[in-house]
Amino acid sequence: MNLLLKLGWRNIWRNKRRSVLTILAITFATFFTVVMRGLGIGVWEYNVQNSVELFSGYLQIQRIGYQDNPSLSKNFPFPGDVEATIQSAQGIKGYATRILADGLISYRENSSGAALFGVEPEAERRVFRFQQRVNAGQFFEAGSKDEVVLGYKLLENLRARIGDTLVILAQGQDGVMGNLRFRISGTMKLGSPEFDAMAVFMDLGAAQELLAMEGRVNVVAISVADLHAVDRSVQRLNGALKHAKLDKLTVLSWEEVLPELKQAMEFDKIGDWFFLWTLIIIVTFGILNTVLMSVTERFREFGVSLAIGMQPKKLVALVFIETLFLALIGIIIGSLLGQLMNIYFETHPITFTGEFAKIYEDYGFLPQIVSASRITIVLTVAGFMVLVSFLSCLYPAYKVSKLEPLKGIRYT
Amino acid sequence: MRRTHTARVVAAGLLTLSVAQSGFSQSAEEIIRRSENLLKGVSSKGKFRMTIVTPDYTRTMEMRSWWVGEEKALIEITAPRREAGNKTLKVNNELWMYLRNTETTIKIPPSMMLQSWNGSDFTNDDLVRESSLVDDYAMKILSDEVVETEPCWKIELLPKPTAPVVWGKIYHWVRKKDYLPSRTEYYDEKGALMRTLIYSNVKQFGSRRVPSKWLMLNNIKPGHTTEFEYLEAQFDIRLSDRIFSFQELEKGRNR
Repeated sequence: MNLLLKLGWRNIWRNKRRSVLTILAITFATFFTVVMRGLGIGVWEYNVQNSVELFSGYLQIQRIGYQDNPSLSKNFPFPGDVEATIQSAQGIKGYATRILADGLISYRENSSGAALFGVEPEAERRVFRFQQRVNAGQFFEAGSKDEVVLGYKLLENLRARIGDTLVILAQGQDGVMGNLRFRISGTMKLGSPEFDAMAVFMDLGAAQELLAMEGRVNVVAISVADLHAVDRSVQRLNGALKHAKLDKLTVLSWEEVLPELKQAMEFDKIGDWFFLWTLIIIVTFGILNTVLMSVTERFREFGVSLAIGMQPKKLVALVFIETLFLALIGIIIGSLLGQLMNIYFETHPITFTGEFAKIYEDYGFLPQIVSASRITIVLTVAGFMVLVSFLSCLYPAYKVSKLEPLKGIRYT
Repeated sequence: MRRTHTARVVAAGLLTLSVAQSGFSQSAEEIIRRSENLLKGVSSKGKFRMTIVTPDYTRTMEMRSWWVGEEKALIEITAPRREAGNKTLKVNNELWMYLRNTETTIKIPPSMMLQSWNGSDFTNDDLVRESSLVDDYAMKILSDEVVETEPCWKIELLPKPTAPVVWGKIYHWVRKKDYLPSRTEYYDEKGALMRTLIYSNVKQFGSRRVPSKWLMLNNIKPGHTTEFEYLEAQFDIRLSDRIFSFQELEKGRNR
């Protein structure tokens, strides 16, 4: 075996140009795949992380059935036992309670349907970023029960201005049509057209008053360290809720709260995989080509070896060893370069500006290309490349195993 | 002389024919029109109680209303106290709400027309709709059915192609005895039953006999019902147009 390894290594360098070209091909394929996967995962995780940290949260506690059919009446008392349960769970970065309702908003002769959000500005600010999206005026302070922040489009539609007073009408959980006056303290631009034309943020206390929801909320939005902590936290919290006998409540992950985001991500992944497979097929044929050439070139030599008593299976092993050497060199260089590139783009994201950035923002994406330097990316790609190189020397190896000494010697 | 005589005979013949027709097989349109006219009157004024039942709560509201045909209406909540003084004004196909608490008048935007009116199972659109069923629907008598011991015509109404209506199909039962409506079923475009309106407790109010209880069953949200019950009603009275003005709307409730 040792001899075979030595023989293989030497054989590679007998035709330097061919070997270097093969190595370069594998290096490039590995590098390219690692960078592609890095960017693919990086951009998505970044976008997902950004959108869940913007408003929805990594997890939400809701009444069972709320997600499929939300209504104000599916609420629960807070703090109650819920707060203690959340605080007892590990790995929770922060949380904020919310009330969600439909309403009617009216300024002078203009009125519009509205999505009402009762929030606690301070608790939200600690873990969620939507308050940074205020594009005019300011977000109201905690406890300010007579101020609201509207989507900027809603303000335009109502033909109102910041500082104006408007009226919000909504049906409370007791059925009574509540109506209160509010001053507009600012507007927000969140990037989603429906949100910007419908959203009305008010203090949780004000929402509880308007909707007869004293001491009750619809949703607790929860933040954890990052996407990878989600599944574990869902399990932990669900366990904690069960333990506290809060069996009407459930914990949902961002994937369940924002199914469209999850779907878009899956769809994009399919595209990525398609691209990856195309690349792999091309590389396979590239390697197959060089290995086959190098083997056919040496049929005479192989014939002679067989004639003087070399076992055919050793020759086959030799072919595999040579290819593996080439592949390993290529994979190592490619992975290293790829990983370096990923680390660079992870710490130095490319940010678009101007028109291009606007297109991205209109679709609700961040105009930024960022990578992920995950060792798992390198390992999976490297594994794939080894597999591919192995597959691509099956045929040359088969040819070698069928070689007869005399035919080999006379092969031209 | 002779010609006139013939004409008279023919006319008499036609008359008997048409009388016979109305007695035996009048068209669905005639039945509906007659039934609608019985309920409407030129104008009306009344008090009613609205009971909303949901799985979460049951609540009762009392209201006063003024109607002129189908064009104008004012409804004022008189109880419970939290909502007393809230008013709904309808002028033609527009709807305004006056909210006493904030002293504001809100125009209900077109996008909110299918939303619930005052938390009930009636929609804003139900109040706004002013055209007769005859204008928007093509109709035919399907069969004779007995609804709660009363023989009725079951009439099927399908929207005319250009009609601005929300229902895909309506079944309407009209009592043969007095042409009063007995039951209405509203279906969506896919043929699913969305809600059922049941008229009962026919009572005499002044010159008219009308159903005093209107029960709306919400078939999409089981357990949600709204019942209207007339407490008082006066028909065909003189109402000043001022009642249906903004000034009146925004006035206090000591009318």
